[in-house]
Amino acid sequence: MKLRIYAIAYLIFLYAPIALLPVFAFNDATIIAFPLSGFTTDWFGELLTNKSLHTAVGNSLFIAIMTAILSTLLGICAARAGAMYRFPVKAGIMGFIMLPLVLPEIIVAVSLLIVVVQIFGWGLSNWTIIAAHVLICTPFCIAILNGAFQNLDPSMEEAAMDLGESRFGAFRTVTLPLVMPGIISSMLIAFTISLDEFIIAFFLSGVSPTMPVYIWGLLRFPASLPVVMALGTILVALSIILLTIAEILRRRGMARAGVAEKGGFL
Amino acid sequence: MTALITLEGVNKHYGDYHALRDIDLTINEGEFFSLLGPSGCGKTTLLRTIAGFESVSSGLVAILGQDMAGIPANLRPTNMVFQSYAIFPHLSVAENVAFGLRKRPDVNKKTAVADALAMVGLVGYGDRAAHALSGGQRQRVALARALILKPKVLLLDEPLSALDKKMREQMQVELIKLQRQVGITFILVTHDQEEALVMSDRIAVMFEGRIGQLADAETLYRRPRNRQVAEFIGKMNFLQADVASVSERIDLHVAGLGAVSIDIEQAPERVDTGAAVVGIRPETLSIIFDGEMTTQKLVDGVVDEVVYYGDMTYYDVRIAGIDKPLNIAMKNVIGRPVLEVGAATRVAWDARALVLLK
Repeated sequence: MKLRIYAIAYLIFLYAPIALLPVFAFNDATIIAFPLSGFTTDWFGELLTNKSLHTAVGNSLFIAIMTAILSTLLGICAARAGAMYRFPVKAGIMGFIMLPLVLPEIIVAVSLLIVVVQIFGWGLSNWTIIAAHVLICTPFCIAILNGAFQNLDPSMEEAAMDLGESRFGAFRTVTLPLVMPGIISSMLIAFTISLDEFIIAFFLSGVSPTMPVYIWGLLRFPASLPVVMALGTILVALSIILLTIAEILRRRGMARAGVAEKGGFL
Repeated sequence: MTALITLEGVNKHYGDYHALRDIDLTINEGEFFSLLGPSGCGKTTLLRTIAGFESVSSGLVAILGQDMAGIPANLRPTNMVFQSYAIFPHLSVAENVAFGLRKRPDVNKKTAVADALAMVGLVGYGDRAAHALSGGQRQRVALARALILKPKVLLLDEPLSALDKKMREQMQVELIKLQRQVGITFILVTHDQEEALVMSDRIAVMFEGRIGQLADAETLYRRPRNRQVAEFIGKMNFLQADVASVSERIDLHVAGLGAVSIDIEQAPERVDTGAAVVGIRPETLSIIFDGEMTTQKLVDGVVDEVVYYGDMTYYDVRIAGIDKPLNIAMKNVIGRPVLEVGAATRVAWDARALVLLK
C-alpha cells in the first residue's frame, strides 16, 4: 500500500509539470497562474506567424535530420564491426566510442567551441552543431543497433554470399532488411535527442539559433511565455509519438529476427 | 573417378594458432566425403576454406583443376548448408529457396523452386514464413536452397547436430538417398563418428589440424592406423604387446592373451619388434556361457561391471595380466542370461580381430 502511494506520488512528481504545459498553452491569459481564465488557441496561432521561430525550427529540423542520418550510419559501421568481427583491443575501442554517453555535455560543448573557433578558426554554423550532435548521438545509435546486429546470425551474410551475392550485395539483401527496424529506431532516437538538445547548440550555434536556444531567448519576455507553452506542448506530443514508433519498430525487428525480447531504452 | 577438389600442403594460421597443418587431400566427383574429428580439430575451417570463407595461409585449393586462390565464395561452384541453417527469416520458404537464382536469370524460378522443394519433401511449403518452420524443415529448406544452384559440391557443416536423435537418424538416411539421387559431391563435417560411418564413402579423421587417417568406413573401423583414431572411432580395448618378429606374419606376445601370430595386414602402420599396443573391439570378444561351444581361444576372467542396453549388454571383464578390464559387447539373444558382477567367466577371442598399433 505504502509502495503504491509512493509510486503514484513519484509519477505525479515526474509528469505534473509536463501536464501543465498543455493546460496553460490553451489558457486565455499571458500570466501563468491559476485560476484559468478561459480557452484559446491564439498562442498556437501566434506560432504560425512568428518568422524567427520558423527559422529556428527549420534549423533544428535540418540539424536533427542530418544528425539522425550521420550518427546512424556511424552506428551501423560500429555495431556491425562489433557484432561480427574480432579485432585487437575491441573492448577498449567500443568503450571509448560509448564514452560520450556519460561525458558532461557542457564539457563537450566548451571543448568543441575551442577546437572549432580557436584551433581551426572555422565559423559557427548549423554544421558545427551537427558535428557535435553526431558525437553525442552515436553512442545511443550504437546501443540500439548493437541489439539488432548481435541478434543476427553471422552465417546469414555468409549464406547470401554462398548463394552468389557479393559482400555488399549480401549486406544489402539480407542484413539490411533484418536490421532495418533497428536503423529506423536509431534514427528516430538520434532525431529526438538532437531536436531538443540545448547546451551544445547554445555554445555552437552561429547567427541563427536552434529551436531550444530560441525558446530560452523567449523566456526573457514574460508576455511570450504562453507561446512557449504552446510550442512545448507540440514538442512533447511529437517526442512521445516518435519514441513510441521507435520502440514499436525495435520490437518488431526482434520478433522478425525470431529472438526473445531484451535491451532497448523503453 | 575424377578428382574434383584437390588440396595440397594447405596450412592455416590464426595468429599463433595453427588451425590446418599440411593438409593433402583429393575429393572425387560424386563422392560422399566426411571430415570427422573432435571440436577444434580444424574440420570446419577446412570446409570453410573450400567454400571460400577462409583464405589459406599457404598451399593450394583447387576445384576442377582451377586454383581457387582469390576467388570469393560467391564465385565458387560450391554451396553450403550452415550449422545454424541461416534461413533468411524475412523471406518466405520459396523466396529462400530461390535466393541463389537472383544471379541466374536464365533459370525458370517457379519450376526450379517447385522441383527443389519436391526433392527435399516440402511440397506446398513455398508460401510459409521461414521463421515458422521446425528444425527439420529448416534443414530441408537449407538443402533445397543450396541444391537449386546445382553446385559441383555441397558442403554440409554439422547439419544434423541441432536435431534430436530420431530426426537425425531419419535425416541421415534421407541425405544418403538425396546424394545418390543428385549425384553431387557431398562434403560433410561432423563430430559424430557414427554419423560419419553411416553416411560416407570416405572419411578423413582429423586431429589438431592434421588428417589422422583417410579411409572408407570399414577400413577406419577395422584397421585404425593409430591409437588416436582407434580411440575416436567406436570403442576399443587396448592391450600391451611385445612384437617378437615381423615378416609375412607378425609374431607377438599380448598381455593376458599370450603368444599370437597375426597377418601383416593387421598392422596398418609399419611396426618394428619391441613394445607396441594391440587393439581389439568389444564386439569381437565374446563371453562363453555354460554349455556353449567355441573353437576360439579362451581366457578366464571375472565380471567387473555390467551395463545393460536392452539389445546389448556391455561387460567389463577383469583378466589376469591385463591392467584394465576388457570391454565386451554381447547381444542379448533368447536363452542367454545377463551375468552379475563378480561372476567367473570365460572370454573367447580371435587373433584375426586384433589390430597392431604403434
